[in-house]
Amino acid sequence: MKKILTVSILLLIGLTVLAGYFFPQALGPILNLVIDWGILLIGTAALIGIGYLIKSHISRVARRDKQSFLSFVLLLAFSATIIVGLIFSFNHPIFTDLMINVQYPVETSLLAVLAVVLLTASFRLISTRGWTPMSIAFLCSAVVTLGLDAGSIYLGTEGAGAEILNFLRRLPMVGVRGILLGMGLGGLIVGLRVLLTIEKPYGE
Amino acid sequence: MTDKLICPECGAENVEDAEFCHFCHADLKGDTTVEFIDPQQNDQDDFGLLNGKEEDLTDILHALKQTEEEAVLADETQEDQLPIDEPEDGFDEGEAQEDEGIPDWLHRIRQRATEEDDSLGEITQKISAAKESLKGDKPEEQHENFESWIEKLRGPVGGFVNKEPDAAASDDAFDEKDEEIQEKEPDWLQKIRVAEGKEIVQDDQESLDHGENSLLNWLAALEDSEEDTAEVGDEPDLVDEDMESESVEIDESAETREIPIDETPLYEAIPPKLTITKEERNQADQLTSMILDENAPRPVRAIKRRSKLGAARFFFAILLILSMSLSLFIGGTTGNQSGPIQPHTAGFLSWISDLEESSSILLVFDYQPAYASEINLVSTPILQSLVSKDSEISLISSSVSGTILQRQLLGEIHALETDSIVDLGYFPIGAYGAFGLGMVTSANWQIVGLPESSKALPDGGFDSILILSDTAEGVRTWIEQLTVLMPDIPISLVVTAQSMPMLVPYFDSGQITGMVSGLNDGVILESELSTGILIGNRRRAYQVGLVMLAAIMVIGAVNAGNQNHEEGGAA
Amino acid sequence: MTFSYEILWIVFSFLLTLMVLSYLLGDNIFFRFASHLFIGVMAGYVVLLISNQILWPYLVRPIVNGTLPGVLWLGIPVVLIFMLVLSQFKGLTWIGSLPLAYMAGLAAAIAVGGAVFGTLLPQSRAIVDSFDPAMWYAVPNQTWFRILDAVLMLVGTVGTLSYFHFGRKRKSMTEEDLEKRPAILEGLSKVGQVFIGISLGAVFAGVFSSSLLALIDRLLFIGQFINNLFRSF
Repeated sequence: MKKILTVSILLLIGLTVLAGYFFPQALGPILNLVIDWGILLIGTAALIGIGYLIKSHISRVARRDKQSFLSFVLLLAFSATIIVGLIFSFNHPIFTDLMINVQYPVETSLLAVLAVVLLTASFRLISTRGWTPMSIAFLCSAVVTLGLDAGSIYLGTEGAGAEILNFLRRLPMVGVRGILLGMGLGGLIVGLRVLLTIEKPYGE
Repeated sequence: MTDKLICPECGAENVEDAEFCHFCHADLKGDTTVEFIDPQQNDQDDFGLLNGKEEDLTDILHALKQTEEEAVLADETQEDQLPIDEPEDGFDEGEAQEDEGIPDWLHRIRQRATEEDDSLGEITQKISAAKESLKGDKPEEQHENFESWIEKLRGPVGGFVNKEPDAAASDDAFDEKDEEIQEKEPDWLQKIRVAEGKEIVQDDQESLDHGENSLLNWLAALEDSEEDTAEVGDEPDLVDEDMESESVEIDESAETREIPIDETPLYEAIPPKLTITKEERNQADQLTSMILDENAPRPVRAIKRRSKLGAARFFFAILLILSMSLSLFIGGTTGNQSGPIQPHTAGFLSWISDLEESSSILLVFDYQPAYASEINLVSTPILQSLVSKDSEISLISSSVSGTILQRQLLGEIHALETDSIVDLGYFPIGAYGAFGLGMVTSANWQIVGLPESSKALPDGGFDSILILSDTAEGVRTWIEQLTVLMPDIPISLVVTAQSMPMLVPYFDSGQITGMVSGLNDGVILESELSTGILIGNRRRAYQVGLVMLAAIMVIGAVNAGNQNHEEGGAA
Repeated sequence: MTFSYEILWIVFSFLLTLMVLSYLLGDNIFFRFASHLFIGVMAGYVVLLISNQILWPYLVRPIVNGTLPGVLWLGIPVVLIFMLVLSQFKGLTWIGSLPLAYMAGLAAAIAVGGAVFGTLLPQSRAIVDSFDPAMWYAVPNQTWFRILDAVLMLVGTVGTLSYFHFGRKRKSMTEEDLEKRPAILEGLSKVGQVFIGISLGAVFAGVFSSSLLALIDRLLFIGQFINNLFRSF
């Protein structure tokens, strides 16, 4: 009975949404409701996930693990954010400043570290991957693209030179289109497998 | 008395007119119907092992006992290999009586039990046959009546635990024999008994009073505990030794029987019939690969390599930061020449120039703070242009930080003071947001009594959509939904340099009208929209960094080529 | 500008930046401190965001301000949410399959619709359109270039697709399995490898460009901070 109910809901929602692509005017209000409920569920799932994160760090602090100090920092930051957010409103400048001044420097610095890591990795590209058609194409394409972006490769803004540059710019799109089609096919197959209940991500 | 067919291959009972064995599917044609002896009437005559309490043994015990045990016990008793208590009701007599009327098939089985190596396999088959028959329509009450028999079968441990001290003292001879038997017992059996005994102690023998007394449960538990022993692997030698041992003693308190077994492992004799699901097979494959991987050789130089890598990273970090700093803080600005304008950039420029005054624009914020510096460089002149055209701006955020970033960006250009900005909220998944938006704009009716929608859309819909995103995947979900549900609304993109290559095909297919990305397009927008200079020296540092990466890639490739050449020469 | 408020945030940002960049010297306590602080703040922020942007507008406000039929409509998501929360308790996991099936059905259908109508059909049509003779002659003196472009696009796309294996993977493909593929497919696959390499090379350059801009931003911030610090003394 439970399985039948689960599959029924899956099929009902899935088929209604698919029908929405063909009859958006007729099914629009219903599907808007369906989407709103889905958003509510996703929000709840995210809250549950955060609950597990906090729970694990509380237990680490309680166990006085080696890294319990860092867990304590995390819990303190979590509590402080909640308290500030509740005292002031979500859109209050103080709360916004707190968020921006933590998120922005940390995330941007992490991305800056990535630049150095990529630089190091690129030096070892061929020695790691060897001379294969793909690695050679990768190397040549990366070097040409970097040269074009840096303005080091300049053949004019008009005429044959510009056409060649445009061709070089356009060349990566060939493979990208294949990759996009591949991703589309992959998404289609996975989606159909779920809708046909071959895959059961909801667990049974 | 009932007439039954006993399978000569596995010993399972079959109905009289059966052509094939229901268990092993052996051909029964040509076998004569044998007289089935009712255990309730003849158990004492059969074996003489059981007292009155076990008189209600069912077919299961017969399947287990009537062939091999009988034969084996007889043989082993004669050989006197182990000290065995004399049965009270005369085992030898019963056995001798039986010998007189031995049918041919039983004789053959006895022969096999003594001569062939796989005789134990047949015992296992009988256990399986007994299980099979239990799965049928036998009532549970039948199994529960084996209490005393199972108690004995569980061995001396339970008995010892529960024995009164006086009773133990008065039964010295019995204990000595038991100890002697225990010494000769294989380790695995002792382990099982210890486990069983422990359970009995813990549960205060409650388990014996309930379903666990069922023979089937006990057999299953016996199998499980053996499997556990093998799986745990804390004493792998035990298992191996068991496999190699030549005999297994089954202690029935005062009655000890020795059953000769071959060297073949018990559970290899008859592969169990397994129904394996796909998930189980995948798990098994994973486990196998993990085990194989566990045994795989590990690179000894891993730590050394890591430190080498750390040093290389430090060197490149210093090199990059120094060169960036020099180009950022020393010298003037560079020219803005960057080659021909790409078609998607030109498309974007024409879109923004063609945009009418007071148009209704949907702005989708789908980027993280890490990319805010890059997105802001490009989008600031665009947003300034939109505000200057008195556009009605609706905001949607599909990234966690989108709500904060949109406020920061619009605050920087003083657009938040205007009344023409509406926040439509946050969508945790871009595709849901796009789909929901498409449905809201398409709908031509309303559900009665439905709560008011949180999406306060402009009356005439949107004239254009501008997506600011840091990932190609995020943009893709928006494009996929919007181009289907809002095909007439032009979509333009402000994206990062990393996501731009993956999105060019959508411009080529006409799904988007234009796209700008990265510092170069920011320079173009600055010059085209004349909104002041934000980029400044960044461009020179950017160029230096790009050239440095290209050079390092080429040097790395040449270096690798040289190494290969040297290694080839050395070989 | 108020000294205590803005300077406080600037110093705070500066310290966080240095802590994260210290990872270039290797993993250390400062980096871990910054990352844990970041995770804690983000977790708290997400809780407030969901409460403020999802639970309030989609659930609480309609219940508080809505009419009876509207509130009754909301009974369905409330039950689903309740089931999702209950499923986190031991022994009640099975209850969660219903809301999960709801989410799975929604996500799968949107993925299928988007993939088919938003990517597969338009991108395939773009390849076909590139063979339209009207497009070849649209720009004078570029006919052969357009034809070459169209052929390249077709061969590259088919090659890239043939490089992927669309099927149920039973075991890792061995050299023998690969040899069993038709020769033409194998040849196209080799061509596809080259085009994939070209595409990934361009993406790599883009990723580096983005991260380089982030590095430039941080260096500018540090430089300005130090500059302001020296000026203040």
